[in-house]
Amino acid sequence: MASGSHHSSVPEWARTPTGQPVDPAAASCTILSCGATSHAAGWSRELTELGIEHRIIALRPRDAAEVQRIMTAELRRAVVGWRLMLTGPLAEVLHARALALQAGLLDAEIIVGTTEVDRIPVSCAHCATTTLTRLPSSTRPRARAIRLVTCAGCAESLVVQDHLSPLRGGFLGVTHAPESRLEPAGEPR
Amino acid sequence: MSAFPLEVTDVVDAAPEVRTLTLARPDRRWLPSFTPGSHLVLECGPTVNAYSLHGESQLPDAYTISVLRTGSGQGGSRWLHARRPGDRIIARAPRSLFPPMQKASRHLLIAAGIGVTPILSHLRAAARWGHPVEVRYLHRPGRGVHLEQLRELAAGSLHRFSDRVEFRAALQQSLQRQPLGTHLYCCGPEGFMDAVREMAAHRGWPLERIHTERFGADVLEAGEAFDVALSVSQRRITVPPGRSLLEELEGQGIAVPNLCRQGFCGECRIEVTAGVPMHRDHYLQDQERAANDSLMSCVSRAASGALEVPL
Repeated sequence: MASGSHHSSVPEWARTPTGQPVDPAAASCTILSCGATSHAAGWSRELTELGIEHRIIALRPRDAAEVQRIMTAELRRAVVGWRLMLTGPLAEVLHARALALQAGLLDAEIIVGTTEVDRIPVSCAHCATTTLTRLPSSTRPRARAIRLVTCAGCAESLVVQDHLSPLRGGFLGVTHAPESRLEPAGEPR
Repeated sequence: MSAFPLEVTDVVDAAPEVRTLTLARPDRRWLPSFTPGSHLVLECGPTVNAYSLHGESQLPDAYTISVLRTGSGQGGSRWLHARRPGDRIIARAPRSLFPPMQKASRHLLIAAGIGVTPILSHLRAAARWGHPVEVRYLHRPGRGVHLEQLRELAAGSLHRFSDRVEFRAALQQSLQRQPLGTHLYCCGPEGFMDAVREMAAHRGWPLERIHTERFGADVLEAGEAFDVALSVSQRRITVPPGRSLLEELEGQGIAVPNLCRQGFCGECRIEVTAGVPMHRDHYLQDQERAANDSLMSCVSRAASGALEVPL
């Protein structure tokens, strides 16, 4: 069955490395590239052909503070009509996208291109810490249900759900045995 | 939806052909608060019309509407123009289909002609909360409505136009310099709203940031009678004009979950297994509409012939 026919919080680009097309209606764009030079160049060529003003910013991988700083600056100077174009590995793309959504950018204003989707962020439902883990995409839909990830924050054993939280920028991880682990009998609340 | 009587307490000429009516409960108790941009459905003699509320929205002791006299003969606007203080009008609770977006960091309010009424309501709310606004109002010379209130509430951010070309040129400029969190609200004639939407979309505005008020176009026609085959209970019912499928199903003792009964909450969605629905709701996405495999039973009807539903 085509993946689009089911309601799912997991977009196609989070399941397989995919680039969304440029938006020909965009007034201007910023491409944030995390090691995805060729993908960024492809988008840039298309934007140039369409006559859409744009610039490319290269991000250093796993430098969250730098991403935050660049994103804040870009959002501050942006006007309606601008598009944020994110390309790189899924984990970096989701992190930057979460920052943009938190700042009020709409999903329609963010264009995504993933170059790798095996390393996925898992957001703990209990302590909100994000833990990076490796789940090869080929086996993922089945593997997610049985694969356990230890939360880097609270050390809970998490089952990775097929649900992507846009604002947290990760897949939802829920403790393996919620009742017995989180609410010890007799403990005052 | 329960109807309640309102009494006309004041009638003022707001502009040529435009009359502002103040309506209060006969016992002067508070009226229900409403979301800015809401409209009131009134039984205007022979017809039912919707009018945007533009007065105080929080615990109001009166509702105010402004009515442009249109057409001739039996129209609702002529009927309303003939009301005098002391007259009673039957109303239904205010409905919100044009609300301010909570996450907006700035509101670009655009109106033409009498379409300024819901915009005034938005402006009042923005002024109350201290939200940044920009108001662009196009009207014929000497025909501006509620200018004094607009000036008072918007002060330096009010831009008035009596020339379409000038309005368009200035709007082009404005659309290119709105900070990122801005939402656009537009009310006026259909052609005007289409033009504004097109200009904004052309400048890269996503549709999610553009909101239009269709002048109470949602006050639906009674429609034509249509048949519905209920495949589970093996019955066939006829929905007469002016009655909804939801009401007819309830009359048959078939419970359908429902909430707003106005076509926007999505609760009364039912599956359609045959026939083509005439969608009149505000809930379904374009794709879902095109699929024709479900409909909102409170407002939607059959496009032609009959429908079959698994009830």
